[in-house]
Amino acid sequence: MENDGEKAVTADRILIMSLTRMGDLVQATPLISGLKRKCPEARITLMVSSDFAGFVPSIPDIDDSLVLDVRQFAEKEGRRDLTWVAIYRYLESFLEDVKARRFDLVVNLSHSKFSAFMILYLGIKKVCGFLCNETGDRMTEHPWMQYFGIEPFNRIYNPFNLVEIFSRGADVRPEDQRIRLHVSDESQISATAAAGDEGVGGEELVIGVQAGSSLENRRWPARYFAELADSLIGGLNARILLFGVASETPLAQEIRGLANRKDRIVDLTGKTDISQLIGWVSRCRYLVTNDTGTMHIAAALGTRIVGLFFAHAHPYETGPYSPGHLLFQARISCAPCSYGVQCDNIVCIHKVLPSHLYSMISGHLKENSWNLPENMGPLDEMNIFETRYGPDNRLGLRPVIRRPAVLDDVFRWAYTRTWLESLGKTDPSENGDTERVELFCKDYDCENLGEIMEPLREKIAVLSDLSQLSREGSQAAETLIRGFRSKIPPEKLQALGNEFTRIDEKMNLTGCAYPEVKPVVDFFAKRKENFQGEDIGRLAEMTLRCYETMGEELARLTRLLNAVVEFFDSADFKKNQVGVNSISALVPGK
Amino acid sequence: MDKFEENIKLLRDHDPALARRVESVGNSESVHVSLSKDGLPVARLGSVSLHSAYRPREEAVRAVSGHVCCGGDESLNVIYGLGFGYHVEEMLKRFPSGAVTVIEPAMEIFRAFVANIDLKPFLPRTRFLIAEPPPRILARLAPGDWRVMRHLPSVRVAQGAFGQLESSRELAGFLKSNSLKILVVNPIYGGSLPTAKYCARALENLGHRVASVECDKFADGFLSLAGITGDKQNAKVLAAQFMNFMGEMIAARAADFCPDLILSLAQAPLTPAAIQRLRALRIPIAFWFVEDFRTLPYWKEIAASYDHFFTIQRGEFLDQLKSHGAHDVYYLPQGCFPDVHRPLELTPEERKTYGADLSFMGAAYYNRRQTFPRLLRHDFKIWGTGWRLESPVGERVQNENRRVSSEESVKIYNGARINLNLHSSTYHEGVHPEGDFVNPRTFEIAAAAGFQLVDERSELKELFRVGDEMITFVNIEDLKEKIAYYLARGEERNSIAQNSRIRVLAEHTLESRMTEMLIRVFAGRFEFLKQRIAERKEPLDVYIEQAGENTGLAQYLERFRGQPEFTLKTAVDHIGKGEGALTKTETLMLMVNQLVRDGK
Repeated sequence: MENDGEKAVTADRILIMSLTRMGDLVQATPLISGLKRKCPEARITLMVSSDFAGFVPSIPDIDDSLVLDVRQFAEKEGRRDLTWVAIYRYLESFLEDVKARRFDLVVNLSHSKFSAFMILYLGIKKVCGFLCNETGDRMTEHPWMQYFGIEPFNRIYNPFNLVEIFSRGADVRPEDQRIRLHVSDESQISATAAAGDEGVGGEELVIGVQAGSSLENRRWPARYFAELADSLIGGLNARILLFGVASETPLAQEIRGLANRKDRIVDLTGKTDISQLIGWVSRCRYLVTNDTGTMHIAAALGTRIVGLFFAHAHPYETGPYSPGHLLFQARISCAPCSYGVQCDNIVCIHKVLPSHLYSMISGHLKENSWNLPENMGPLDEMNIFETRYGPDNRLGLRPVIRRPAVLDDVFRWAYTRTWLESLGKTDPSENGDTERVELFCKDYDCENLGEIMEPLREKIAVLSDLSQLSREGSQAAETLIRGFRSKIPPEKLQALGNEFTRIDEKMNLTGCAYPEVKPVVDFFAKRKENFQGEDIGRLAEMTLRCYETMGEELARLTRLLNAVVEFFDSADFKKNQVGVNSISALVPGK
Repeated sequence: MDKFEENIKLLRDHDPALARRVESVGNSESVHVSLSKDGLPVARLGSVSLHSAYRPREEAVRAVSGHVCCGGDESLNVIYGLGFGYHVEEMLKRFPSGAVTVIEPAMEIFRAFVANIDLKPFLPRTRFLIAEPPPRILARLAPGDWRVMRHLPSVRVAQGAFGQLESSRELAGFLKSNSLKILVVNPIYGGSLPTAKYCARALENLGHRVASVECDKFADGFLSLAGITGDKQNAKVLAAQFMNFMGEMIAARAADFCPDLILSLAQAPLTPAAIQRLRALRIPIAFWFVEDFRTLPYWKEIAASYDHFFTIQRGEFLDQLKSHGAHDVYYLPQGCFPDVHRPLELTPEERKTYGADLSFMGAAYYNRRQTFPRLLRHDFKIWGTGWRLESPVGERVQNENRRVSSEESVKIYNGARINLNLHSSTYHEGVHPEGDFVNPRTFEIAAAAGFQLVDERSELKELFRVGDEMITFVNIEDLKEKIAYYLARGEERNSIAQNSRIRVLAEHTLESRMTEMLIRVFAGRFEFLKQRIAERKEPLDVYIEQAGENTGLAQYLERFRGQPEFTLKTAVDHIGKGEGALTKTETLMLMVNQLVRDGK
């Protein structure tokens, strides 16, 4: 058995495809460094879109880069004579050039069909991530990249940061790597010089603000940023720097326009390239930001982040991957937005107020730790997390507001271990489950754990039903394998095929009815997507493995959930509960 | 000796419509008749004698001797110019098994011919097309393989008319081998909506590329405006805003499609202002008013806006149109669409539903409501909309006033022994005594080989041979008698129905009407059209040119030759339906498709 997901990687020429967002590039740095460590002789090439070409020199361990520039066509939209053929010709030329480099491993960090077709065209044999087969059907290579494919549809139960998923998807242990960026001397010098120009003193408390974001409805309102800026200036004598690209200048102007202390607010939108941005961010003590690429830069540079996660942004997935940052999220039933939702009633952005951020920042400045002050007001509709490394050396989120655990929290916790054991092939021993539950109870208020015991037992029963189905599937697959070897008539084969359909439909319905178990069902379907060829014997064996793996995953999940039940039933917990209850009784209203 | 009376009897039998037309004109003073040296009548127009003043038959023999003619093949023997027909007669003699078509632009010459020349030798092998507009001639006669003999004196006196015929013939050939882009603007609702849809399909059948502005999709919205407000002024504003919006929509569609012609059907939501905006496209804009001008007078507001105004009525309407500023008016009767209107073999179930001695399909106009109670002793089924279901007539309504689809109409026509076709009137008790135009139902029933009794219309005799192809009634008593007569004579019914079908398929299809319309529209713009088509590059050609000769992409795209309106989506759909491994070209196209949003 491999240890903790660290597998040998052999490759001479590695292509990393990251064509979507700037943040993804930062989040890929542990993966890239890990690959470099494992294959020190390999040449690593990073493919990026032209929007982020300037960012490549800041990514460590990259030997070379390829810039896909389809933006050039978007800018020519007005030209009537420009057709798709021009894009075709460009892509053909670009890909032939890429092909000539004879990459032997590609890591695809995107879900897009475009990237899958690109990999097919390039004909690279070893793939980590989304791809398609020669007939264009969707496939995903590597269990963690398959997880990347089901995660958006089950995000509430996802405990893994993209950094961890990316890294493990290329057999790199994230525990051994950190996100990093090169900060060149030039960028430091340039930022210092620019600071002088803008009148920003060397000893000043500088707080950066990244008010824009790629999706408009993820943004905190401009008036909130203005109000916060006024508080930070008035209360802490801070200097506020507004970051952003040129298209975000109107937003920056709006913030400055609304603020009272314009003299202390510097609008840098559209005035920095990526290198200068890195220099500026490294000058900041805090960065207040929506879920943006600038946030990930700050995480890599060690600048303390006060992050705002609204709409689809989900701190568990895309939070900054370094410790000590503070993340705000609305705590309402629809947050975060599910995959594909187009919300036209963005109420979540109003659940977090400037006063909340100011209280936390001013407190942190005094105590150098994130503590909840008493004057924060009602916090029922807000989550606050701090990023931290856990005892397993994995980066996670600590709830700053300790709330009663709900069923979703329990499942998220249980899935963490389930997937690590299943996908990462880590030690599946039950030893330590109790300690893990105890750790869970440190993050959550488990006083009322009893309230979720009944539904939890109900879900465990559902898992049992699913396990039964997976066993039926395994049996059907074994019958098929035997039948195929003994050459049973086609009509009997067909009947077995129908049996698989029945079982799979039933599992799928169970997943739809009970979202808590859907990740396992979805993963089963994701694995089946990879089935190739017409060889019935081989397909039957793959089907058998699929049902067996699902059975193992269900057993792990059940084991962990049972550990919670057992912990609740245990004498220690009950003793503790009596104490809690008696205190409550003695001090009514506490 | 005047042969007119004797000849007209022959002509009534041969071509009654032409007989009526020639009877309606008097002797022209411009045609002078004298005797040749050998005693034959010879016509002269002004200073031009149409035949030899000495021996016209010998002259005809000489003229015809150089002409190649045959009777058995598909080619059409056409003679330009009738004169007094000596050359025609000689042609018929020379080719005893052949038939000829004589095109003569001047009715006065034909009138003189009928008065002076014995018609017997010409019949039945001669088809006379007299004073017919070139578009109509070319819509009836395939323009391709004509074997033309020119009677030079006739051509000389009618140089302009024959010149127009020749250029129209060239245009007709051009239209057959070139695909035009035509935008059809549908009405929001109403009786002209099916015609708009059939026109679009007919144009497609002719090989043109058609885009329809489906204003009918907005019918519910438009009709619901009526319930918004009781304030007439506000209602008027809302209706005007809606019309403006529709105009904008049509303009947007036109700008996108870049048509060579816009054809708007009666009741289409195009205001003069909207038409004016469409003028920026610098293409002809035509209107086919397939309605009764007396019932729907809105034509007065728009007549001057269109380049071409086609009507189903003639007479005073043409004059009124001109007085309202119409630029070009042209009579174009309704027609059938044989793809839909066709004989059907009904199932026993359908026969039960649609079978009847007497059927009527149409809306409950006043004259129909007054007439139909008198027919209730028959096995009479009524279909259509607007009927009072609680009335005695209403009990015969089969569809509870829901809209009857075109397909169902055809089953009704096929199922009835007699289809009653009473043209609508909002104020007559029965037959409109001065009814002129012919409704589409007349052509549609005929195309379905249904037997119909239709009320007499002045234009009907020009379109059908009444008695052989169509049976008319003049009043309700006449109708009742004819119902009784024809119910008892199945074979006679079938024979008449077959005759009417042959006639409509030959002359009264919407394909024929659209051909006629296109020739009329582009006759004065032929050079413009040629240039436009020559300059137009098909999208596929542009793509192949951009891809570069002999490239994989160019070779791949060649397989889509002949597919109209090719887009990247066409190729992607094709790839999606394919099997086996994706080629490099296909993979690249799928990638491009991911980047290009609308697949164009």
